[in-house]
Amino acid sequence: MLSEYVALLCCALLLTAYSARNPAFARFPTTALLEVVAPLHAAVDFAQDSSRRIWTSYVALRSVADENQALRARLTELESERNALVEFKVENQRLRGLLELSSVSQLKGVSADVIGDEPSGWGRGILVNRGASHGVGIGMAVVHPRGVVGQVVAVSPNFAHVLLVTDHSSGVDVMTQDSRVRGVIEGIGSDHCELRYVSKETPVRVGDVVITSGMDGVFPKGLPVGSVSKVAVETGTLLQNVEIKASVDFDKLEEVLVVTGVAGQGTRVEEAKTLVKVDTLEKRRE
Amino acid sequence: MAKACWMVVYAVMALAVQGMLGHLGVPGALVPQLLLILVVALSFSEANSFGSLMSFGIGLLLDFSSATLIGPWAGSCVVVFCILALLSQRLFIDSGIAAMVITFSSVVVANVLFSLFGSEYPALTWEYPQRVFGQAIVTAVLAPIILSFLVRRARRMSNALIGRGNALSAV
Repeated sequence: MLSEYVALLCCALLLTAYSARNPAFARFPTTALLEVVAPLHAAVDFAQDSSRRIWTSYVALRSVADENQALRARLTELESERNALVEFKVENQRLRGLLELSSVSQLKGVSADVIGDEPSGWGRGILVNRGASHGVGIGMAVVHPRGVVGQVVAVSPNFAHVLLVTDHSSGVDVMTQDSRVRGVIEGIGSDHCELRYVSKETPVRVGDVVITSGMDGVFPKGLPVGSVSKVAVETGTLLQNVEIKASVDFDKLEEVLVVTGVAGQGTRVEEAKTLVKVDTLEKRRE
Repeated sequence: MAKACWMVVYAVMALAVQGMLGHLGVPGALVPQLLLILVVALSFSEANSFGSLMSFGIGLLLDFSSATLIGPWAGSCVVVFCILALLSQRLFIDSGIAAMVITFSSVVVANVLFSLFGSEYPALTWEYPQRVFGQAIVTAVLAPIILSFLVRRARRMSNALIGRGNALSAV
C-alpha cells in the first residue's frame, strides 16, 4: 500500500518536472477542463449580471424621464463637440503624415468578459468567455483600459485562461515612463510585482509610472503596468529592489481586451499614400 | 465505476464552485478548498488503491485548472490522502469537531506541500500564512456538513454493493 503512495508521489513529481520544461504537454486536458467548468461559471456570471441589470433598471425607472431629458440635451452638446473633434482628427492625421510621424498605434483585439477566477483560491489566473473560435490564441496579451492584465496560457474553443502579471511565473519587459529605465517585472502575489534587474545607480523613484517596453514581443509598447510603490537598496548587492503596484485592480476586473494585433503597425507606407490622396483631392477642390 | 463517476462529478462541481466564489468577490483567503474535503472523505471511506488514485486525479484536476505546472496539487493530495488513510484506523470523523480539526490540518499540509512541490518561494510573503490559515478555517467550517454527506453516501454505496454480492452468491 505504501509503495503505491510512493509511486503516485513520484509520478506527481515527474509530472511537475516535465511540465516545467514542456508547458504545452497538458494542453488537451487543460482545454477540456476549461470547456467543462467555464460554462458553469458563465451561467453564474449571467445570472449575476441579469439580477444586477434588473435591479438597476427598476431603480432607474423612477427618475428616467428627468434623466432622459438631461441626456438628450447632453447628447446634442456632445454631437457638436464630436463633429469638431472629427475635424481635428483628420487635420491631425494629415499633419502627422506630412511630418512623417507614425500614427498612434491602436490595439486590435477581442473584448471578453471575466467569468471566473482560478479555483485554487490563489487568484492569479482568470477565465474569460472568448476562445480559439473568436481568434484568441496562447501567448496573446490581455489588457484593460487601466493597464496590463496578463497573458493567455490556455485556450479552448470558447474560453481562455489568463495568467495575471502578478503571478510569480509571469514576466513582462517594462520601462519607467520618465527615466526610461528598463527591467523585467515578476509577480510577488497580491496586486504587487517586483521590477528586476535594475542597477543600483539607476534613478528610480516612488511614484514613477511603469509602462511596457514592447521588447518581449507579447505586450505592445506604452501600456501602463503600474507605479513604483517601494524602492529598497541593500548593501552588498549591485541591484535594487523595486516594488510595483499594478494599475489594474484585479479583484474588480469584469471586462478585458485580448490583443490580437496592433492597428497601424507596418502600414505607414499605405497611410502615407492615403494622406497624399487626401491632400491631392483637397488641392483639386481648392 | 459508479463511485468513480460520482467522484468526478463532485470534483468538477467543487472546482466550479471554488472558481465562482473567487469571481463573486470572495477574497482568496476565504475561498474554501472543497476538493481537499473530497480527499479527506476518500481517505476515510476508501483507504485503498481506488481512493489513492482518485486523490491523485483530484489533484490533477486542480493542476489542470491553474494551467501552469502540472503535478504539485496531485502530489500534495496524494500525501494528504496517504497520511489520513494510515491514520483512518485510529481517527474518527463522525464528530463535527474531529472533522473540522482533520480538515484544517489537511488544508494547511496540502497548501504547504503545494508551495514546496511547485517551487512557489516567491509567493511566500506575509500574505501566505494569512491565506493558508484563512482557507483552512473556512474549509474546516464547511467540512462537517460536506464530509457527513459524502461519507454517508460512500457507505450507502458500499453497503448496496455488498448486498448485491450477497444476493448473487445466494442465487
